[in-house]
Amino acid sequence: MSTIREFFTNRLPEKKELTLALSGLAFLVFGWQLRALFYNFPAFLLSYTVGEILVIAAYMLAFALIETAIVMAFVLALAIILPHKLFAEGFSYKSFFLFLGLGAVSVYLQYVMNNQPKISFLARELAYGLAAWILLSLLTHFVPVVKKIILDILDRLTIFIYIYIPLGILSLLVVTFRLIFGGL
Amino acid sequence: MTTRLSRRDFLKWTTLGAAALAARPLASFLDLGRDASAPNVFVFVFDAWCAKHLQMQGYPRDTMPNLTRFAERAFVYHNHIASGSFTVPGTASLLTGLHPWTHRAVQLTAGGVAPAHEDHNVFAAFQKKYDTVGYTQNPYADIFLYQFEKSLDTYIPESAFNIERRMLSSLPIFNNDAQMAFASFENNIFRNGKGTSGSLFLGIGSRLGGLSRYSKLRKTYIGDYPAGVPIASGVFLLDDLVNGLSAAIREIESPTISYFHVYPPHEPYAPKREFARLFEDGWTPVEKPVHPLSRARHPWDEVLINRLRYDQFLAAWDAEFGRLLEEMKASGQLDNSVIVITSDHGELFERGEIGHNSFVFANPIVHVPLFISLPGQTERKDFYEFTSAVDVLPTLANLVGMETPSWTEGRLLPGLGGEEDPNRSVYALDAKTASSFSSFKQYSISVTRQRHRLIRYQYLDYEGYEFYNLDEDPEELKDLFASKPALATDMKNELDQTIADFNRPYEKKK
Repeated sequence: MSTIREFFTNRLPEKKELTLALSGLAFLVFGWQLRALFYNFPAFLLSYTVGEILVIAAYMLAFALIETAIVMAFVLALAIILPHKLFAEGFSYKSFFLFLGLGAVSVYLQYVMNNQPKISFLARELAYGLAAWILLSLLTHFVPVVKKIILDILDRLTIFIYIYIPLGILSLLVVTFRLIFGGL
Repeated sequence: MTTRLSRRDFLKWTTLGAAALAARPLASFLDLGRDASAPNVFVFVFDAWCAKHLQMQGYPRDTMPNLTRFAERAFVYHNHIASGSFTVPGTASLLTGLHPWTHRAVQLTAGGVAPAHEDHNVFAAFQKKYDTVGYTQNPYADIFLYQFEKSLDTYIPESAFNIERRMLSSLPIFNNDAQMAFASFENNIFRNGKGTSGSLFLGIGSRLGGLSRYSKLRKTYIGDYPAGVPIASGVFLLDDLVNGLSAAIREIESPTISYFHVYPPHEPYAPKREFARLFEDGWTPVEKPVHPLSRARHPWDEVLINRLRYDQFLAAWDAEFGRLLEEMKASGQLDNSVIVITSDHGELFERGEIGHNSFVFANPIVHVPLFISLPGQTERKDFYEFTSAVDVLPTLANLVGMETPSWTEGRLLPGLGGEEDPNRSVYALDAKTASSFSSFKQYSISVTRQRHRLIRYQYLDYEGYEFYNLDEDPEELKDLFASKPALATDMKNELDQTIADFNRPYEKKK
């Protein structure tokens, strides 16, 4: 057992790095989900009562929490699998840039993609996202000023962990309650 | 604490419980004065069905022979105008008998009608005397069924007849909260059409997964559907859809009003094999210049291919629907019911546009068929004056001997209680980018009167009027507005006044 624990302790990034990465991720995932909620808000007001809109918000925020957990698990798996220097070192900003790159590709694809996207098209867009990630990571790694700015930004984003994560947990409880006991 | 229950108590509570369960339907049937001999009413809505593509409208292709046969025993309204150019406003007007600026369901992704009009719908109007059944295969129209739920006795889920339930909200885990799950996931957290999902990372995954599944299903059914398999919120087969409708109709007991809103011939146009080579006749419609408001600006050959596919899909759907009509005939439903067949909006294959996700307001996007067949009807009756989607609800109420709801903005259709009126103004509105809560600042709107049609476009990057004589120029090729005929000026004043009137309550006070 101790061998497995040691393995993970050695492979996982430091707690501070994890927190910064999580704050960046929560900011992006919850922020984008809230954008969708507010975009549809006028339409919701026509169709649903305030209570129902709050339930929809609960579903969306609960899903954002689950999505945050899934994506975080994905980058943690990357940190464990990839060589330490490649990803676990500077985990906070490398993860954040990965989230930014993949997020930008995701949004872009949703706007431009037709119903029969070619694999080559998808691969090209993904390559752009990964290239942006590598460039930004290298820039941050080798230019101390950039690194300081990015880490300062991530540090300030940690406030969102204290807002979004409890909100997500509360929403998840609301949704779970409704799924068990019905809409009442 | 223990509770003692004697045999007598048990029998008493069981009897009372059973009586309570029976009370509601019994009360609704007896106390509300339902007449079991009243005819059933069936409203069939084919999504995105343009009247111009019917041979009886002068179209050179015989796209719908079964519908033509049905028309021989129906009231046929040749110039029927949908109130909107896409599902949300078009369906809302059909169900409420209200103009889009009144019901306010105008946005592309919008929800239902304004709260003030929640009880102003066909199901509420009929509920006192009829059972009500609602089904729509289009998720955007399904929002209205959710909103009018309290007036619906039977709700059939939109994916009931699909072979693929793509929607997350249809998973068993959400059974206890299905409608809120639907409202949250579909078109919000996950969005499968145009636009972005609320889920930043998994949204695109869901979309790609859906496309991948579609691709597999397409391969599975390529033998039957060589041009692609039909898809609404999930993949469906035309046979399954008709079989599902047929089963639902068999369950119906008199008197019931049923609203069946099916996806065909909405895109993607997916004709079955036996129809996929039809109409390769070399015929080409008049080519019209690309409209300044056309965003897509499709090349003409692409427009022609899609028009051909649409016609083939119409023929395929007609064959299936013909099967349903035959079954209804065999069961007597066809001869004993009021049957309405219409559409929520039309479709464009011109001016650079394909489909209806467009700001261009040319006639085919709002010109839809309307057939109404009465019990025992054996003759066809044709009407050529312009009629509106908002007329359907009051006419149906009148047909079954109910009072016309006071809130409806429609009038009785000619031949069914109303008179032909060439001076009547028929409106259609597309305000998909407008807010439901403020005055409409960007829109396409048309008014049709005295065989002429005036269109007003009001957008940040384009504005103007177009005026056409529909008798002399049914293809809307010669814009007469610049020459300022008196009727154009008169209709412009009327249209501008209408816009000012419906915007006034929403104008901010200075």
